[in-house]
Amino acid sequence: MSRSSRDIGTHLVDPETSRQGDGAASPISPDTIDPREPVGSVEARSPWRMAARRFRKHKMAMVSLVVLVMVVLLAFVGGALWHYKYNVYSNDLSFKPSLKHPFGTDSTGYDTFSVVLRGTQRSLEIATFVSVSSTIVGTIYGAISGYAGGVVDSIMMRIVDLFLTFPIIAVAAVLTHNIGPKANGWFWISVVLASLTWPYVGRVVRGNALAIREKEYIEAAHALGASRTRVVFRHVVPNVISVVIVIFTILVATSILAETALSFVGFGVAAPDTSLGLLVSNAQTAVETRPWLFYFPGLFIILIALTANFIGDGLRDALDPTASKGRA
Amino acid sequence: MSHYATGGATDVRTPSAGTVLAVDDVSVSFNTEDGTVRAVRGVSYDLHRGEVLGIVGESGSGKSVTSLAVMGLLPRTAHITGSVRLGNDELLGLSERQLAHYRGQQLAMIFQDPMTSLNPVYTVGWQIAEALTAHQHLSREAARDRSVALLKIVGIPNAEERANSYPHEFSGGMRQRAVIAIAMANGPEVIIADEPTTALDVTVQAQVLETLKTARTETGAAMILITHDLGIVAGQADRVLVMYAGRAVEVGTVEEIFYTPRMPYTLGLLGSLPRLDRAAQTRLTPITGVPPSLINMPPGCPFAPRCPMAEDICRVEEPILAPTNSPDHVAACHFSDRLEGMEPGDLFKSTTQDAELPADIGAAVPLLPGDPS
Repeated sequence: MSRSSRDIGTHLVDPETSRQGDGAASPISPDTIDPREPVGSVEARSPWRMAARRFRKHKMAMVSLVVLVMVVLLAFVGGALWHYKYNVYSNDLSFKPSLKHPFGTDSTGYDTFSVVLRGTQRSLEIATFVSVSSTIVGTIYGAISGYAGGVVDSIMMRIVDLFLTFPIIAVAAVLTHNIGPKANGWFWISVVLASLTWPYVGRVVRGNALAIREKEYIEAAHALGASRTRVVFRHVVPNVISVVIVIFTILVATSILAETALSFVGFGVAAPDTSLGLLVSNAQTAVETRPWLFYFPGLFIILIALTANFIGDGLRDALDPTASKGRA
Repeated sequence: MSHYATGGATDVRTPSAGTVLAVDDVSVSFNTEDGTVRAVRGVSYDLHRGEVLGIVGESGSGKSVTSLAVMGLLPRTAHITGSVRLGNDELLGLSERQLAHYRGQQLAMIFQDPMTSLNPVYTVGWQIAEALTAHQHLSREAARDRSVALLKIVGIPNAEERANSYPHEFSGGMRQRAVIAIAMANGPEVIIADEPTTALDVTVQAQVLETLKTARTETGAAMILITHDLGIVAGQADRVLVMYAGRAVEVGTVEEIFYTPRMPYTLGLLGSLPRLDRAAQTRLTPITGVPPSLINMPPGCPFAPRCPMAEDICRVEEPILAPTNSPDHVAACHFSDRLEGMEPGDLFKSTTQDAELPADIGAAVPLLPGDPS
């Protein structure tokens, strides 16, 4: 090997030598192979760039993206700038929505707007943690399972099947019943939710990996001397990433709803911490008398879940144009 | 001469110092629900330094499986016996990790379909660089420069910019040239090209074959050229190995195989090709029938059911590769002597009379086996 690769090395730096090599042997010289080839710059159109262009044409997804970004900015930046703090009460008890208190106040005088922003922050943090961690774990798990195939795949998928039989809310309620009020309660709730949602990712990724491992470029990578680990992480995973991105956005919506449900039934985030689910739960008795306490956090839950779903829709169409011929 | 001796592959080969790859009595079988498929049944050959060995045969004759066995790329369900030596190193039985050391570095492979053998999510330059860095310690810049230089060698215009292109931006011919660049990246000793031009437009095939030639002169690699196109073999190969039903049935130089074939199957293959050096009105003489099933092969010569000169012995004993006029030209036929000087038309009949002549329709071969005519 060392011999011949050295030889090539010297050839490589000398284009004249190589030109003679094939030019003399054939009338087809490299320069005349495709005369229509533009000589100017050829900008590489990566699959990502093309997907981004298709995504921008998807109106619902673009509107959703703008709305979601606004919600996120509002929650993390707006809350800090707003002149009422979520943990400092005012003397305005049970005010209706007004310019002073856009979302009204509750019976203790807390400004609902700042409380909702605070709850949104926490809910977004949980949703992000859950979707990111379960996507990473599920992708690696699914890629290994699908690539390995055979017995390994069977065992790994039976474990996934086992997880999928768990009713998420019930199991999460059991596991989190006493960690909600703790200092890092939201974090442990996220961990529990993530440990129950990754199998969904794993299963979808495994299905795609099964198809990809039969592709010739995987065999070609082996023929090049690539190790199995390298093939999984450098060749299988990048080819399932478009599917993974879509699942990720759906998971954001799912985990927001899961957290809400968990907090609503009293096993999620607990005071003094707060979240959208907890706010809705606390306000359930006030729906008749002070409806703003209930509807504004609810609106935020719907906004986040809905926009995440629409963005997922747009991403699916953008990343897999063949699967959605019906859409314009 | 022990012409009729039975048994596995005899060693008529003379392994010489110039041998880079020695395949010895390699058999591959797969266990399926229908039974054991014996895809390759004792194939042996030597590949000499710098030579091109053409392997021809029809679909299912085991030509691809043999080379996948050499690369160690067969699925784990394959049962492989025999020996594959690269230089002095035995390859069969090595672990994936040990094989990875040889693959890409000393053994490279070019696949049939360039549409699918490049990873769609990486640029072409990245993929060549990956091949380089898998076996050599190179900086990112050095790997990139080498990738561009390799693309230049295989004749990609604007190589600097094209290295940043994705496979979908390349035409089929350009992709196959990029695949060739990847194969020659580490200066392998052996390049296995598995039907490298089959998936390509005829007009591009010549260019790709030229690129393959360039790859050989640049790296000095020996090449195994698997194809069912006898024209490509005639133009590219030094020696030819004809496979039939999982066996090598004739091995010789290109001249020997094309001018003095000594196995009826080879003769039949040549007769079913249109040739410019024959009278324009000569009809082609196809080989009738189909290859035998590789499950539960009947005894005897696998070609006997299709062979016009088959005799009783052919249905009982499978002939072994035996030397003909020259010791390096071997053929597996009980009656290879009789083929001397024979033309395909002497042995095989053209299937039918011209269909447009109504008078001849009755004389045509029945369309269905049960046809009363």
